[in-house]
Amino acid sequence: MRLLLTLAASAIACGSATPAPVPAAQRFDDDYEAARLAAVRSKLPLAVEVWAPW
Amino acid sequence: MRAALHGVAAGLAGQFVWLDVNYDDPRNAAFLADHLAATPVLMLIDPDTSAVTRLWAGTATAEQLTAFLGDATARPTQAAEQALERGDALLGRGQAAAAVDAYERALAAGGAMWRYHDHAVEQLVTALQVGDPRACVQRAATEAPHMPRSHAFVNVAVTGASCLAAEPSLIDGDGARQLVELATRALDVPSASEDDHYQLYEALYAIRLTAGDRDGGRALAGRYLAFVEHTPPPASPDERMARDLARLRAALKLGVPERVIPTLEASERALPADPDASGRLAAAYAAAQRHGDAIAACTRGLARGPGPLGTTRLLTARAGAEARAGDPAAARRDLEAARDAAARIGVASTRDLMLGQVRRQLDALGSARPGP
Repeated sequence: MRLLLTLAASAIACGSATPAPVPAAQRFDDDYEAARLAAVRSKLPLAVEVWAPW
Repeated sequence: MRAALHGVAAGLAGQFVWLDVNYDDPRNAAFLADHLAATPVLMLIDPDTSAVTRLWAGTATAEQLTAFLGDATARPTQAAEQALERGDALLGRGQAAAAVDAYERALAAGGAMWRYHDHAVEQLVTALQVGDPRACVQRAATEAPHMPRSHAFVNVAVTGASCLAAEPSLIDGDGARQLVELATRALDVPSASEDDHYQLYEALYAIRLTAGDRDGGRALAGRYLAFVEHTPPPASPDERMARDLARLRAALKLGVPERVIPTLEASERALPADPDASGRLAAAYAAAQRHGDAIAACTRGLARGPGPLGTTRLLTARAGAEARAGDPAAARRDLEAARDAAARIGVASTRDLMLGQVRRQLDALGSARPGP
């Protein structure tokens, strides 16, 4: 019983040391309206980078 | 800037929805018509109202971008911060004069010790660059000497020097000499990024030439090329593209296009989807009088699916090489195709600029004597 408790405690410790999963970024290319609607749905600000391909 | 932003963004996954807007994609014409059509620009938008809430134009360090994005959702309560946010919103909408007024109010309300003071100066000078280059030069020359030698100082010096370089009539005006000294000093600021160095060299070179100092310009071009050649191997396609563009520009200024051709050939192979990798190589070939190679490189670039602006640039470059190779009929065909491509460019100011360039090339071709 004591061993099981120890194992359980170490399992909890291992679990708590595991980093929380990082949510995947929602990324869009060249579709403002789709990105805006996704931001509304997820209640997140929309970050827009305007870039030149040269 | 793009490489720095992508590095920062990777650590902020899930805190924003990200949108990349390609300046040369016609699908973005409506967005760019409603916003500041410049690059590089990072803006934060309230998706419910479509209002720009924060804006960063120009280069930035990773630390600056992290701080900028970290403050993104904060609601300003002080008058100075509210005015700064209002300035960003106006500049994001392309309303530069109104943005200048808001930034001035922010600076007046915040005072010299305000934590956003130097950033507000950066934003102010950027807004002046869009709408009033003379004031941009004067304000940058007035503000920069009082700023700590941080990246904000570099940004103000870069922007002011770029305003001066773009406006030859200002070369003997108030603040011009001081601004050149400040821009030269900015080259030695540790936080000055590669992009900052490239922009500073470009501006300082143009200023030297406008002032009639060809020897000084040549010396600067030598430093410029040496700087690019001493950068480490690129860590990403974005870095490679930025370095190659600077490498090409420096070599053309120095009159040594052959020196960069092997690197640009390697980049064209390494970036098989990049039309501009072929375009940069074509420009080097053309400067080295290798017109057949330039024509072939442009043709490869066109096969890589560029946008309307990229297509226009490649077609006009190929037409130039064809004309110099003695084939005016091919040059004319390409310029007429370039005119059609230019008409599809989404940003009106760029479209007008490119249509004017194609027209001038067509006129020059019409007045030239037939080739052999």
